[in-house]
Amino acid sequence: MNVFIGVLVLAAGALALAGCGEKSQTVSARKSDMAAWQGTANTARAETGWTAGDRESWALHMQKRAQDQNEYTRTSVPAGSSALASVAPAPAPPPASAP
Amino acid sequence: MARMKFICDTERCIECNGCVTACKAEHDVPWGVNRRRVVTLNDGVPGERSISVACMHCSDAPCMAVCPVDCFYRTEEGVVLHDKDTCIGCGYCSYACPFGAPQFPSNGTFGLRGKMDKCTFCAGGPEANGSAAENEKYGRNRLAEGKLPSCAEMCSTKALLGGDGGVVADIFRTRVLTRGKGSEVWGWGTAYGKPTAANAAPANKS
Repeated sequence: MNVFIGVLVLAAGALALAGCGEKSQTVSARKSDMAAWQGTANTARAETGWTAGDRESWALHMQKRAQDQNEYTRTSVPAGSSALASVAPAPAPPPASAP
Repeated sequence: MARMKFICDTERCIECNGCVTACKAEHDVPWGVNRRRVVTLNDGVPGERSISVACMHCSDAPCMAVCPVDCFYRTEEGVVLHDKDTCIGCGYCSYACPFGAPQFPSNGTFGLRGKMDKCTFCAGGPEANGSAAENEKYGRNRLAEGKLPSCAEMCSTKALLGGDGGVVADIFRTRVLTRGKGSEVWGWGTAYGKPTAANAAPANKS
């Protein structure tokens, strides 16, 4: 009988100690993001002219595309040429008259 | 590797809000959230200036520093993104951001503040590129499609430039040298650090 009680006490103790077990409360590791140069699953909308998975190809393509924002490149008119210089400097506004 | 940056040329911005519309349409941004907006200074006064403002994807982003759950991360292209599955919507980032980029959609019966939403430089989020999950949470991933942000590409006057920092800075420098004025790059000092003395030479005004 005493042995049975002893086993019961030990089991109850072990069960009670289980409550002391600590689970990690740190935020799980952040998800890793796919790099843009690896391409997209939405291939129907992807631009051509570069190779998905090739970092250098993507970087070159993006630099070329960024140059499309440069009207001096798009219009083939070199910056500072007479065609642009004629419209570039705005005339100085007349001085405001005193009230 | 490219370092993605925005430049807004205040000499060119005409406050058309094309960038705002392009962003809303491209990412199906919910009502009440504007990832990008146009701010006009001295509105109605001669000499007024308009600036298109969104997340500048800062080099030393204050939002990343204050986030209590560390949901922000920076891609290898220098784009600051966040994980909406981790975000708790506390709003600390909105207090820290000098550009007012973090937005919080109201959802729920009592206007409960939802998870933070901001400009992604059209680079999506941590989900797989171009996946439905990414599209639903963050919008299109144009960078993975080989495209630049919709706002910059849609800008009618090309006031808003987006892309590789070296390229867009070179485009802007050429403009300034050609027109002889307007060399102030709004927000760059805050987002990417103050210019050093060696790089702070004024534009040629001759």
